[in-house]
Amino acid sequence: MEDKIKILLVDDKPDNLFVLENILESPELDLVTATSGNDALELVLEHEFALILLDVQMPGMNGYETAELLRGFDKTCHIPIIFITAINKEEKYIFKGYQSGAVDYLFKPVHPEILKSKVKIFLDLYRQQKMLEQQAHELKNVNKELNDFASIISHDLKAPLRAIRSLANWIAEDYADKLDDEGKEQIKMLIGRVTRMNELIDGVLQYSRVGRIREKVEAVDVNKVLSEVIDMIVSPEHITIDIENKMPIIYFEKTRITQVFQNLIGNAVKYMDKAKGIIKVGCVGENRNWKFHISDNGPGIDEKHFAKIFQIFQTLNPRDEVESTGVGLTIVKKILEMYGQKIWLESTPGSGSTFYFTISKDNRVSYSFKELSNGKQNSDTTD
Amino acid sequence: MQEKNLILCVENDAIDAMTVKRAFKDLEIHKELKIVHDGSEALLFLRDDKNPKPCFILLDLNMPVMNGFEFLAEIKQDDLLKKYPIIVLTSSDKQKDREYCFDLNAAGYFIKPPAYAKFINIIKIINDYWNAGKLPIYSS
Repeated sequence: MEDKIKILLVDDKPDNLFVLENILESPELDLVTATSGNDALELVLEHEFALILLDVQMPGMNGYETAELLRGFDKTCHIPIIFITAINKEEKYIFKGYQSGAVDYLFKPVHPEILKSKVKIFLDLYRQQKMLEQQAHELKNVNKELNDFASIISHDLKAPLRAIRSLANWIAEDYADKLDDEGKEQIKMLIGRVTRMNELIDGVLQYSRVGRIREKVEAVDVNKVLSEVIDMIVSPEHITIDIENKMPIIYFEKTRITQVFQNLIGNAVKYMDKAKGIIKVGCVGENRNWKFHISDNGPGIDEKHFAKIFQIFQTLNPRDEVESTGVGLTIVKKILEMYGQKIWLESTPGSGSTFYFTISKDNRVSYSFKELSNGKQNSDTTD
Repeated sequence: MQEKNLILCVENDAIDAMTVKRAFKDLEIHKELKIVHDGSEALLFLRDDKNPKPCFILLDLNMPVMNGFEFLAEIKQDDLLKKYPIIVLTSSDKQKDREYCFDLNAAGYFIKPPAYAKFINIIKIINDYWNAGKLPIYSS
């Protein structure tokens, strides 16, 4: 961005161009001139302009026609155009100019201060836009580095873990007759911790995959997702999972919505402390959203922990009592927030919790998200 | 002539090498297991006429000096060595690693499972497969 900002001045009369150049001359600007619409079109393909000042009355291709052609090219359709005109002060002509893509109008004789101040506004906009582009680019790079970092770290951490586990197992086998019960118990605990560490690393990987590995947004039948999820979660006989009403079809990444339900229902099953566990899944339409809920009659969660349960690696029970990585709800929240959706809960300690989340009924919400991320889908399927 | 009784294992991690050794012992595979620590050591071993010829090669990917990919690429260009079946045994499950290995004529690709019980099973499958099948004959 050390380069000068380029402005294109188009007028068939060299005298007029000279006047404009004199008014706008500044060390940070590069003023490029053209004396016809054709020349202007050639120049815009060659240079990157922040702004075009375009005379309306020109022989051959006039200003309106030139502007319309500029709208037609991807490269040039975003360049703001200020029309400069001596006649055509009537409203209908001005309207025509706006239709051709003008963002502003100036009348001859051009008042230097007005011209300068209008140009300044557009240059400020241009600079801000450039800065945003730069920042978006940097963000993307940092994000990519972070993701790569997560997968490399995970991989490198897992290799020595595997070795520790092997060695512990071999000691247990090879020295079975030399180890007393206490020694055997310690080896068992060692292996248990290694397994936990392995799961934590897998959790980090899964978390980093959300958003990085993007699937197609498609129509997903939540009824089907739920029956798959319930099949997958092998829930004990004393727990029943009821689906309260027919579920809608939503527009989402199928794997991600499956993960959301799997974690929320899975948690309800995992932490169930009642002799007869009841888990209910339901959905209501609320304005432009679907509001889903998963309720249980489990232990409940104290309100002071509501924020904490969504943080990574946070668990409310000691890991030795309920084996949990503390990644599940973090992933659920990340998935939903990625699509601009919310998750929250209500709970009465001792008698159960209800988790709520929203999904937009409008499929365009999901699509606009994809455009934001350059519409690129990551085809990387593994790490 | 080729030894039906030698397997070359290219593995730089001592514990991973021990795991392979142990699997051989537990599976009662009565073959000699020669362990070298990277691709260049493996090439030295294979190119020395005094050494017996292995029936197949187990190859790790992530190694210092000459890694698994470089080793595969080198073997592929060597008319004397390119017939060896090389089975990749790695902890990498990256799609691009897998594809690249098969591009370089790997005869198989297995991911080292974290649990020994599964690891031993993979060694058994690899050994049984190459026992049942015919090997190319290497003249020395």
